[in-house]
Amino acid sequence: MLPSLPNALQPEPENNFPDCLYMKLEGIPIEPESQENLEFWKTSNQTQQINLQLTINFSEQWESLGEGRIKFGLKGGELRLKLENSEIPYESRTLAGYLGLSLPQHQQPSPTTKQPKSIGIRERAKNLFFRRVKADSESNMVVESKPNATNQCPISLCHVTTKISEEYPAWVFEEERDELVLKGSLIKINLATLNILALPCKVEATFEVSQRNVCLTDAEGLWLPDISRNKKAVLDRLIIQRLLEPKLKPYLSRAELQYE
Amino acid sequence: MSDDKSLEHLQVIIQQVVAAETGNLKQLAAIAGLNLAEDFAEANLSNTNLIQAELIEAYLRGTNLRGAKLSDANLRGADLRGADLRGADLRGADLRSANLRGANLREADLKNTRLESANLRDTDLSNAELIEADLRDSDLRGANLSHSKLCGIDLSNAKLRGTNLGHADLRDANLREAYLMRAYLGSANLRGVDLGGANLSEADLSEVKLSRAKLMGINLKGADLSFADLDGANLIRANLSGAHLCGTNLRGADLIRSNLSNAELKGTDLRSADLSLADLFSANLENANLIRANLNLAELGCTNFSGADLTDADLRSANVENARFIRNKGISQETRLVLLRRGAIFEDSSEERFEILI
Repeated sequence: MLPSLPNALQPEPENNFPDCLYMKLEGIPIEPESQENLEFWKTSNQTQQINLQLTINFSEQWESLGEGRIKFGLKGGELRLKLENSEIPYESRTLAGYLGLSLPQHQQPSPTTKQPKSIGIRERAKNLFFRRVKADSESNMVVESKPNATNQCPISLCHVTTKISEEYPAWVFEEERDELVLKGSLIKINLATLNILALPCKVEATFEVSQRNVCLTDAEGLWLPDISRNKKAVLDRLIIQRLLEPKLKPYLSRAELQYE
Repeated sequence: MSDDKSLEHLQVIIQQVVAAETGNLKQLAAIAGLNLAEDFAEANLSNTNLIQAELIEAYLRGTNLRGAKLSDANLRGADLRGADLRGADLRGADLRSANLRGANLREADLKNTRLESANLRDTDLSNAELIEADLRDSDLRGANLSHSKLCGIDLSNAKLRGTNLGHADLRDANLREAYLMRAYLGSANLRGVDLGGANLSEADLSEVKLSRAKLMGINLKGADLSFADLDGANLIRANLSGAHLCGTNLRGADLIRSNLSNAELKGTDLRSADLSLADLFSANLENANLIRANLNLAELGCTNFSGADLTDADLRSANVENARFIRNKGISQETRLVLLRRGAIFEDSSEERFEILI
């Protein structure tokens, strides 16, 4: 009979920016056809298999910068698995294609509260701004703070491709709808089927991003909302390169499964 | 530098950029301690103003330049592989020898752009405007140019193998010596185009408009030209062997010395076409319209003329050995006897109403 693999035995996932990206990996053992005299990891003619289930949530995260702060999110990234004493054949990598990210229920926009919330965010942005800088006109600021308002929660469309050129399995996540960043969740979605070759066996999953995957979506207390597009482009690059990238390396999130 | 000092330094730079009196992206990058030509690969430069920017050999791989204003920018030799240039304004930009492989240039404005010897492999140029652009010797293999505006473009010597040019507007374009093997040109407008010496073997040219086109010495071996409009086209010495020309309009076309052996010409309109000295060996001219066509000295061995209209056609000195005639209009009894003597095969006893020259 298969021994159970309680989640408590597995290390907790490490999510460095949990608002931006939360990731969890779970292993569900697959029952072999015959259950008589089975060891956990193998049968006489059958390899023990584990179904890897991924839970991943994308959103935006505020990060302080001196007296101000910036908000960022992801346009994509790479999920990499490092395997010890196990393998995932290419045909067992099930996660691929276009995936709609669902929103957690508490984030679903409510039609009745939408308008007041929007005003609240505008007001908050305005207040924060007034505390730090002198503005020429009020209308400019209100318009500028609107596009990234968090009350607008569209479901992102994510394109996932598997990489076959690398030693270990890797999945590339990309935003597909030309929206600013990925938002939403995939909950307990089948990632792949793992074949255990020997014990102890370890699966290390890391979600890695490069500069191109990171996108600034908002800023407060750092510059005027009507800053020119050229200045904004330079500041985006500067902040991503000097502030965010060092914090996002070598990975954004890490999860591990161990079987002994 | 400690983290606190580093953060403090970053804030100072941010304020310097914010307070800068210039709007020039290169200068702003310099204030931030960045080099526009080196540090902006994969960066988001969408909708920025880079008019007349000096970006020679700039490293902009994977950069988001969507909607950027790059008119008259100097991007000679720049690395723009995988860049997002959708809707970018590149009018008059210098992109000579630039590497744009895999870049997305959909709906970009490339009027009068210099793209000589540029690498444009696998790019998406669909719906882009390339009017009067210079793409001599460029590499466009696998590129998507469907529905693009390419009037007056110079694509001479360009590599276009497998390129998608479906529905493209190529009026008066220069495609001399271009390599278009297996390219897709379905429904493209090629009126007045110069394709002299170009290789279009196995290309799909179905329903293209090629009237007034200069096609001298063109290689159309095995190409699909069905229902194409080649009215009055110059096809002297063209290689059309094995080509599919079903329902094609070749009215008044100049096909002197062309190679049409094994070509499929079923229902083709060849009225008043000049096929003198042409090679039509084993060609299928079933139900073709050859009224007033000039077939003088043509090679017509094993050609299938069944149902073809040969009214006033000129078959003098043509080799008709084993050519098959059946249900033809325009062949008198006298002509029939002469053709029979020259080795033609008549499979019926059709009535002759018109005279042909033999």
